[in-house]
Amino acid sequence: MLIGLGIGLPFASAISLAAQIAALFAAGEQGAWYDPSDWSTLFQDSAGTLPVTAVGQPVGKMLDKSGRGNHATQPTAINRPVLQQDGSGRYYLAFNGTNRSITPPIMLGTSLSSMVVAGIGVGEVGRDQGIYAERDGTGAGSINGQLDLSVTSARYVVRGAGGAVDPSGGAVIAVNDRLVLTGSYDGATANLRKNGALVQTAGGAVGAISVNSAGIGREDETAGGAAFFNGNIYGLIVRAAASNAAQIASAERYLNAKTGAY
Amino acid sequence: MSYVQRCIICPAAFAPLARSLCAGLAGQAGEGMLITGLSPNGAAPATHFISEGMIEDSFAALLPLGAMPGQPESIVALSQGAVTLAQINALLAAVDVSEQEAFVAMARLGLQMIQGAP
Repeated sequence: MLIGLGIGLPFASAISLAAQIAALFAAGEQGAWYDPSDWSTLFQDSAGTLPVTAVGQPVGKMLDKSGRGNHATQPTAINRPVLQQDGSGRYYLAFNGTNRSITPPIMLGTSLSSMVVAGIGVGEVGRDQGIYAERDGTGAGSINGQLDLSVTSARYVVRGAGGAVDPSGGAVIAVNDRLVLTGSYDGATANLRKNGALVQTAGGAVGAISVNSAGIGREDETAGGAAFFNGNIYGLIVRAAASNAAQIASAERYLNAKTGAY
Repeated sequence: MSYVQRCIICPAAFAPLARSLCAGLAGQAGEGMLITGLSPNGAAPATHFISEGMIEDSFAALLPLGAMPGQPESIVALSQGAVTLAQINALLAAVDVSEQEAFVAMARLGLQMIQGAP
């Protein structure tokens, strides 16, 4: 008599992580999927004519893998993030905290539903640093999908004409931390997650949102200019749609594989 | 095309000329430089501006670095006479160019980033 011990895998695990990310955009959802470990998506110049072929090269164009065509570019040579590799063999874009950033098209725009997930390494604390943000370029105007570091904690901010949601404080950060951060908003509740766990919630309606700039590695603030990120970005997913728990978990698992945070 | 690491810290008085030269000589690749303000106490107004990152080695060769003086005559020629040799010599004497990371160079010069309101 043979006794078979069947080990059944959950259906989601039978689909690759990359396929799960692609599925986030399968219905035409606006957004982007950036993956610095995929060198076929990286170019040294903003025109996309000179591929990145080695660690230590600047990235002037980073292609969006979601199918939405939201490629990020940086025309100014000295402002380009630099492809690097950490001791675990993982690839990331290095941002210096003073001038490096890369610019995607506006993707969240007026949407009241958003999810931004980033795998990062923290290089500095003690001031505001933009990981991803869409803003209207003024100090007090609209903000959408702003995932940033604020002094010593991570934060997710959505602000419109009628108010703001700002879950922060629960995701304490320190220099050299490696994190997967997730911000999401569904029009009523904003959540901030750190390394796969919910750490902060804020409720509220924000009213109409109107933004005119987007940035990776910076948040544009008229009062004093931009707040640049000092650290490493291992991957970034932006989605202008309400995302359920399974979708958020897929994005976090995928970016954790790129980042090695937990 | 090859790139080299440079950190450029320019006194505020020379920043408009430096920005104009970078854009004029490098086109779009040189636009938008030197926009992050610095000062000794981190408060406005900016006394200096910084850009740090990878630039084409052909442009890096125009700038001073350590004992290497830069190429002021070449800059004048490339500008097609838009600037004088005296202006370029004054700019290159004032600007701090190194291969250091941004915060290391800032610390060496006793400068901090000016923080804006959130």
